[in-house]
Amino acid sequence: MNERHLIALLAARLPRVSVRAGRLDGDTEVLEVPASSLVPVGRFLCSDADAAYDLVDITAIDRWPTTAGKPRFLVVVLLCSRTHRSRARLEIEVDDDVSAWPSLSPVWPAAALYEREVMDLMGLHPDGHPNPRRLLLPESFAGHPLRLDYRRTKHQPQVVPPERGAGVVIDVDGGTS
Amino acid sequence: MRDILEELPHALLSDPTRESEDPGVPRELHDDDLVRPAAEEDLPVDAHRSKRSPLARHVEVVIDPFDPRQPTQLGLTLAVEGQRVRSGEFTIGFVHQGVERRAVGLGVDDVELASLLAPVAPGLITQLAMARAVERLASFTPDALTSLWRALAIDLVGVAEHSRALLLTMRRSPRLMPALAQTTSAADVALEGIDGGHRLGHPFGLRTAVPDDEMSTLRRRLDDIERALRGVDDARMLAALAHLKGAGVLDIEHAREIGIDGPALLAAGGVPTLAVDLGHDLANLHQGGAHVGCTVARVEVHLQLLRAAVQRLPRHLARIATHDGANHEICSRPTSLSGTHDAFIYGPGGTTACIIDVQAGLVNRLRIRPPELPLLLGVSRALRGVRLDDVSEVVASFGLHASALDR
Repeated sequence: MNERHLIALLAARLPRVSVRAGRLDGDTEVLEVPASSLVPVGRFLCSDADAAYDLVDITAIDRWPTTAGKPRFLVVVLLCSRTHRSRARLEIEVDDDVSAWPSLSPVWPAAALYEREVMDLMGLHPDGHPNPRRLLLPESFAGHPLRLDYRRTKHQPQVVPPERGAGVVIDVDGGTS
Repeated sequence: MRDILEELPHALLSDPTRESEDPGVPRELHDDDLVRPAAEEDLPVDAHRSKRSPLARHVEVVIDPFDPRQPTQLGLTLAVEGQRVRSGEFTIGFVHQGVERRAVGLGVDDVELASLLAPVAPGLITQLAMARAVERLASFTPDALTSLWRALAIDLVGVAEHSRALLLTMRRSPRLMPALAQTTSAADVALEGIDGGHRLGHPFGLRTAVPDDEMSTLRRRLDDIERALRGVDDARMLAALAHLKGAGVLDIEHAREIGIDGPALLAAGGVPTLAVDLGHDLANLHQGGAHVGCTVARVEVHLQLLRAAVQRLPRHLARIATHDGANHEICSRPTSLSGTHDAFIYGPGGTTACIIDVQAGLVNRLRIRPPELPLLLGVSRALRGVRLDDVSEVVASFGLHASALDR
């Protein structure tokens, strides 16, 4: 694909959808997408023959405490197109007071597990997720250990289901990744 | 699996008559075709729980070592009907090292951190993913010699991992196992020698030249691998798996839907992922054979990838030996980096993706995603309708690392 191919493609095919910026990071085209536009942009990137992107990963970055005037969180979606041999990265800024972004599970079913992981560890909720439960940590776990204001050395008692035996305390050492 | 059934003899409601009609061939499951107890009261009573037990239709398989008082790290629960799996679901536990969180505040070239993620994926692959992300952040292009060593190392990882997947798949064929075990072991030894001494996964390239005597040792290791692989008889292996033709199917549509790549995608007839970082050419591989997407197809793909990797090893070494260009000076690396960058490494199991966010030279967020999570979904789907006796082969053919989520 040519440089900034996607930003031009989106402007042509989805003129009503706003994408804030497009830039190149090596051979990865980076799109800053407002949360409100994420699902239509994702649907287009997934299904349009000129894009045909598959989902690789979804994760999030916490900018706390130095957000430099930007929203605290950045949700990152990694994509690759085997058809066009190209990569793309979607970046979605999420405010701390909102802590939610639209789920991409209806577009890429593979997104469901990654979104649960982000919700579990970073505390950002994917709106419209079909199964919004924690993925790695028990439901009784308080907080989200990948948030940078979660104390790294914090310990929590692990609540073990009765049939498994007595409760024990594990050292989460900053929680899980 | 037989051991489990011996431990839990009432776990299954067998239907030998139905099995004998069509042995070895998966059949479609229909609700009106299932063997069920006539009423809930027919279920056996579990003495420990004093209530009707779900064991009549469920078998729980714990894949990793675990403390019995705690939820499992990774478990597989099978719902069975008769002698076949109706559905399989992985349960992810929460015994984790917190590696990604511990990365925060460290320097970008602290590659030892990435190595803690092993065996999430083979350790060198995770290190390389992090190294490439850091290098891309620094707009740093590794020198040719470093790229050659990395390509050699990735192929060595491939030899080890593909032969290990084949070894696990062939566990019920003792005559075929020694050669595969020797291949796996020889590759592990060779990899340990070059990786341990020269830190190939370090950002910004090799730090030291490789002495001639170590090159000689490596040549002997590659000879060991070739010799061991000559004992792997493809035809005999595939014949031993004939009963699995058409079993454990993961088709291309579902493979793409759940984000799978690597051998499982190739076996389903899919196009391999982007192998741009280190220039692997997978385009000429025979994809899936005659039984697209099934366990036998995955074994065929592992065999092809294994043999292709072994053929490339001496070529890599020859190019390294004749390389006369100068290495990059390590002191040319940037001292202060900021920003967010990603990198993909195409390893033996598929794509390992890394995203790194750095502020003033220190890691703010490190995320390395091995290809494991989609594979778990793929195994779950492929197990539907599989005979219980075949479950271990179907699972092994995916080349899973059971500690996938211990991060």
